[in-house]
Amino acid sequence: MSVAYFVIGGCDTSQGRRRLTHNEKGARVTEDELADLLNELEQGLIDADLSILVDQERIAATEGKAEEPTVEDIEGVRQEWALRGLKRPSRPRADDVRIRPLDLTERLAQLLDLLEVAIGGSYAIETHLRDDLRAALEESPDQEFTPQDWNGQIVFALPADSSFVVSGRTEWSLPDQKTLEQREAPVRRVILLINQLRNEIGIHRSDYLELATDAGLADLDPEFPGGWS
Amino acid sequence: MTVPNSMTPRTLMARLLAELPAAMPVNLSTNGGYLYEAYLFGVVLRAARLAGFSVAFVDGDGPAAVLRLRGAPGRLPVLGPAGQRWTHALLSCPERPPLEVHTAVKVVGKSKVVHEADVFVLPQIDAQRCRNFDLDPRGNDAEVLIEAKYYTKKVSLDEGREFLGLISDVSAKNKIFVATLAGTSVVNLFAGQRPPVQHDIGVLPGRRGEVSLLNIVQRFLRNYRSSRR
Repeated sequence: MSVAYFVIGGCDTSQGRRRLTHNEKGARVTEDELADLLNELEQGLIDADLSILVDQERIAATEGKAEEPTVEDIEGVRQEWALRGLKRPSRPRADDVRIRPLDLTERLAQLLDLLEVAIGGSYAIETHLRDDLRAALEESPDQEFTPQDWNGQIVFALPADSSFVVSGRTEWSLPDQKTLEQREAPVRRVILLINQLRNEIGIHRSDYLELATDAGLADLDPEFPGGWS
Repeated sequence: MTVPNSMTPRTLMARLLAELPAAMPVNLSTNGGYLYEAYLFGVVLRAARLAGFSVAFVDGDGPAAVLRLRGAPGRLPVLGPAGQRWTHALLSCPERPPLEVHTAVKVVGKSKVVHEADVFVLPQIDAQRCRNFDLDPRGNDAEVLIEAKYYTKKVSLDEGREFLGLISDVSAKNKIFVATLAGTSVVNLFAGQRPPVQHDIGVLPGRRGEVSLLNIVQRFLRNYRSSRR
């Protein structure tokens, strides 16, 4: 069987599911494998009670993305018209776009980004929340309240008039720091595996997840996978 | 900790799914949205410190020892039962009357319809009026209103259109849509409005979105300090 290679992210899914995908690093995944990986991840997340991620990925896939016609698109139409003996077609306008559904690669990339946020982002928020709040309180010249007045406890509770019922619980607290940090090793492993999957498949992480160069906000460890320490 | 790099994507996927349960935050799929509101509350407080405000945690009885936040939208004038008061932040500066920062409160739009504000900053005098007369705050009382979408809430075009409806009814001075991740459709929807809708995507610890939100809120608060009423 002959195979054609093409760059992930610019793949044309309309030309059959048997072709291999190929990125700059040489990773190759067939479209069938991509579909299997996406299905496996979707099902695994649903089983792990993270179906909201799958819902979002599917919504994004359906809503699609705006794409401007390329020079190749325009040239292709021009050649086709020429072959059919027709006059030159009018050119697209500057802001003309088509909305196309996300392809398999983009869907998988989106789902891995969402998973990274769910695991790494949540871990970073939880482990830094107390310190961040404390930092806002420190050096306060306010006389009626001192940072020591707050004991560091963060409680979330359902208002009495709330119609929300969460597993019968009406109140929950942010675990103490030691408990939160027990997740560090599993979080590291998950983020490493996500990154490795991206590398193997040849897909990119969202720019939204890149560390800010001028962050200096939270005391984040850049050595921690994804910078989610 | 290293992950061997000779694994196939399928093996990596299987390992990733196997590692997930230990890395997942407890209760996050149901309660994560309120954790995110607490995080954004912290970003607003840090912005306030940078803008020269002093910050205190306050409840219906005075300085708060526990940060007790709503786990579902509730009414601002309801203080909560004795010993379990809802906490808000009090931002003070010498030049202008103090501001209060609340999370998950119901607000009333121009149409007299109730909306929900995930983070809501309003002058203390307006909050006191609400408490005195058992009123819900008006949207146009707000200095800042943040609509937050954690990964546990879907961010589709419908949510984007819903936010456009919200900001047309709730004339807060500064309205911001904030999300951990969002598809290009929602971003394009906001960017395509005239004037563009203020939004920050990728608001997570140490990310550019966080820096951007911090700067935006800081600017709003500096403007409040320097403005004359």
